Amino acid sequence: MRSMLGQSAASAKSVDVISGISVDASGNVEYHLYQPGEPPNIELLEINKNSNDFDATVWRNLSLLYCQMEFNVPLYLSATPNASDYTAQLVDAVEHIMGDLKSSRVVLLAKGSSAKALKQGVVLIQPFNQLKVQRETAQGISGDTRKEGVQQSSLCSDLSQPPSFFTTSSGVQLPEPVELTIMLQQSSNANGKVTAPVVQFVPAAENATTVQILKLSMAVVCMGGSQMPLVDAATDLILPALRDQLAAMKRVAMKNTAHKAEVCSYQFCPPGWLHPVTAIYDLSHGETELALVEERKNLHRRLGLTLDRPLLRTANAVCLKNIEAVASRTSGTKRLTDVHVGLINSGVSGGRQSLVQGSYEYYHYLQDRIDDNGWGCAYRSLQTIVSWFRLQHYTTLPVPSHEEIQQTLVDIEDKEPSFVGSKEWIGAIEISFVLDKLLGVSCKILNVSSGAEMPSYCRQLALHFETQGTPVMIGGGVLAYTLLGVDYNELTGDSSFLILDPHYTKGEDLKAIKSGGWVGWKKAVSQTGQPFFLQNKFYNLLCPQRPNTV
Amino acid sequence: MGRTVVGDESQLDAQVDSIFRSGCSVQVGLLVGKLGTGSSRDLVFALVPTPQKDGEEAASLGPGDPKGPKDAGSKKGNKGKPAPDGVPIHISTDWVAEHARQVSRMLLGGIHVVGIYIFSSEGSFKSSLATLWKAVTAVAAVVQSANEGDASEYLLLHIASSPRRLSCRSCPGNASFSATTLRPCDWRTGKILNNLQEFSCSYTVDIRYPVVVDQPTKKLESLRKYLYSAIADEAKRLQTAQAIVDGSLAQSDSVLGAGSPVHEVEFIQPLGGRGVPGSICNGMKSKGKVLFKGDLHARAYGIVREPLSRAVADLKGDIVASLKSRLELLVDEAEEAEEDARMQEQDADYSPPPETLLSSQLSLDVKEHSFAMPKRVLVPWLEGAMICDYMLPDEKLWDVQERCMDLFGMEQTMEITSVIEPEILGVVPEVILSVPAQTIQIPRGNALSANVDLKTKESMAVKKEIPSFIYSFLFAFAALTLVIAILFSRFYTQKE
Repeated sequence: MRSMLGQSAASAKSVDVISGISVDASGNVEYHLYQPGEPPNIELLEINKNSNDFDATVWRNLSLLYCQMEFNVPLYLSATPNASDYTAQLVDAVEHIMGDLKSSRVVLLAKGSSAKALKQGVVLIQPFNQLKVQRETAQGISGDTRKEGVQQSSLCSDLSQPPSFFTTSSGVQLPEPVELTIMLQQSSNANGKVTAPVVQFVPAAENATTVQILKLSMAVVCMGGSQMPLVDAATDLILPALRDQLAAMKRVAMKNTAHKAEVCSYQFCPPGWLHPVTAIYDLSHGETELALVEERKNLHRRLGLTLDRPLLRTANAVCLKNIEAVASRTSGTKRLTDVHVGLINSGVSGGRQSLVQGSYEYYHYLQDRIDDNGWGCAYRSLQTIVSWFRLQHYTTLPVPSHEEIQQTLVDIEDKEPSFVGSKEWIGAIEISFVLDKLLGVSCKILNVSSGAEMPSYCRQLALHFETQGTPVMIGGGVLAYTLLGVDYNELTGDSSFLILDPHYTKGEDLKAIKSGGWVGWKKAVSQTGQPFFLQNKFYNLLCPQRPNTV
Repeated sequence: MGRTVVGDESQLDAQVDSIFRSGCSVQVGLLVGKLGTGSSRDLVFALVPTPQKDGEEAASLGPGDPKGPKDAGSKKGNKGKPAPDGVPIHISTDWVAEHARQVSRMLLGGIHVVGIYIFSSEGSFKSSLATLWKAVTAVAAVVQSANEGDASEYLLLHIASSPRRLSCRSCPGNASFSATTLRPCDWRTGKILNNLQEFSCSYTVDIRYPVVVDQPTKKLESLRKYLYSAIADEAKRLQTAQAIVDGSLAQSDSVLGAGSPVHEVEFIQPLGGRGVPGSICNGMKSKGKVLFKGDLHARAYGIVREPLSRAVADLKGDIVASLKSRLELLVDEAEEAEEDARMQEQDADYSPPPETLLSSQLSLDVKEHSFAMPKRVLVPWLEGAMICDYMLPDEKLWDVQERCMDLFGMEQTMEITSVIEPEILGVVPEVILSVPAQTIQIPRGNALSANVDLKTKESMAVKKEIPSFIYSFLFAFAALTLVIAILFSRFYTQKE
């Protein structure tokens, strides 16, 4: 607190500071507003913590600003790694970008996301050109009531009115960001003559012959007051934020001992956080690298997040880039997800339902123009399981096709090369191999010697869904199914199984799937006496274990 | 009648008049204008007659070339006796194509070679369609490769000698010849040139292009390839640039209005767009890099009611074409120098010229080396439109005038003082000055202008004898008068 005050006092601009102090053991917090001056003013603030629409109230007065850019800088290194060479060239490259960011040739383009803002077009911000903002419109601004004669300058809110919101995967509402692009003037402003180009060839130094591309992928997000002029937002928020991030990226890249830095920044909205946070990762060794896992763990601790769920992996990142965001939010997946939701009756009275946690996609026969009728049910069940890991952000790997699954089994020498492209069945064991190979996920396998014994595994399965929450694949003697949950009454022993059947061959019609019983509660023996699990067959229950990692 | 082609009334009338006055029976030349996009019309601004080659006209009557027109002639012959005026035309196709190449180089953005014209009798025209088609496609091929043109149809304008009548046909660039290949167009004339709008900008070039090979032991064969790919890379980057026209951002749906005909353009480019070229990946072996540094003046012409985006694209095209043309000029020169060197090889005291960036073969890896690109000058041409030329370090404005006369058939009355020089020659970095002077000494002269008809050469020579210092004196005198005038006017206004 003191250092904060000192800092604000030291800086030329007077800054209001709000402090929160925990005042009693029950965790109540008092907020004070500090306004510098002679004498400084300190007052107690009334905070309305009960406001339900906190998100909306806050965002009504703020604009989210987003700026993203990527640099690929070739470094010329010697064949034998030389740390000082690398550092020197890295510093040089960063300085060059920094120079551009500070240059007076910088102009910015701001683009809003709401329909009205899009109609208004792109706003050109020229921070160093007479310090003015020009608003560009195709047909002039209609309905703008601001007084004439005053130099009009666009405000942040001009591009985000009316505010439109989107919901992140953690359920937080964020406004669609105003996207800024940093541009450099490519024309010399001199009115006189220009100097025609000179071409030069500079031979490589003897110890700098191997090309190594340094990748810096920057993205900053800032919050500006809606009444803030865009030009101020650009010069006081975006540009300093970019410079800070570049400096931070330089430090990250320096640590790369292999000199192959690939530094990227991502925005996350972890649960419990109302605004996005930014993390910078060096992804040159992949996401599961030990150092990066350690780093994520630290971030989890600092942000007060649980340590057994991945919340800050690149798959969790929030996409703030307008075009991409809109595309990914609207196009989405063509597959049905969570088809079991809304099923009514499991037929077990007084039972306790234990279900899959989170979302999955329903994979079944004849999808993706593959005719796998009669042999592909286990492949489809595996695809459903992988989709669960994808949607839970454990992986960014695409769901493997039949052929990729077969290739994986050949690669680990479980099958002969001729297996690829064949129509051979796979079982629970193969699926556990593939999950291990592709996702690093281990599985527990329960062997059930006869279908009649299935109900006795209900307790174990309920425990699985409560602790792991992953879909279970049922393989074995006959057909493959995916198990999404159990309903079990401990007292009566009555039980029912939530089965997702991959043998469905029709189109993506949720009604038909439900009424046809392709997803539904099945009793081991139905009311008409028909057994669902066959007495004379064995079953393997494949329970994927949720990785206990961040 | 698919296409409508509009020629500029006054310009074409005057030019057709002068063809008739010249009294020749057949003449070939280029059509310069703008090919329409989408549903818009094709425009023809002017005719540019192809000069003579070694004293011979580019087009003549009679079966001169045994290869081309003979088949056409014999086919006609089967039908019966050709009409008395049906003598087939012979065209020196390569020469016309070379003319198109050099003229294209001198055209600014938004103006292109759009086809050829032929002045002949109706009968000769009818009996030489195959020859003419060949000439159009040859020109189209040259022009397309120069501009990376998107237009696929080029034009053939026939000026019938008697009765005087103009008709136009269009010719798809890639189809093979048949009786229906040349499709008639709707030909009209109107006022076009006064609807031209000029867009100009200065563009800062700062290219750093890595010179890499995939195997460490591999030697560089020539640096030319890298220089051209560096320009191609810049062209790709330029696509992402946005234009600020007259101080405001160019909107995608704007259309050129009839307002001020002169526009200032500034380009802005996303920071970070300067990536590494896609062909370069980790682990490749670097031999160095080529740098292009400097500014260039670019200009393009749009026409009223055209979308602004097209004018901006043409201006971008002009930037790239200008870089390419300058490099091509130097490469041509270097090739000639190499040719000369091969001729001299028999001499005992001959020493091969040192290798440069532009040499076609490199026997050893080149040292640090640089050269200045030729500077661009603008020459007034039509009403409201200019052409450009490039001046090598030791060239004078006379050389520009000579080329304009040869290639554009300009009158000798062209005022040399009306040439605009928006650029100055770049200074080669000092380190380089220690390199022997002959590394950047390249013989001057233009392939085409070297072969101009002797008569023109002689008349040029007379003019050339006027010492240049007289001109500089006149120039200085004029400038001095101006300064004095300004001073006087100031003096008087102050008194008041």
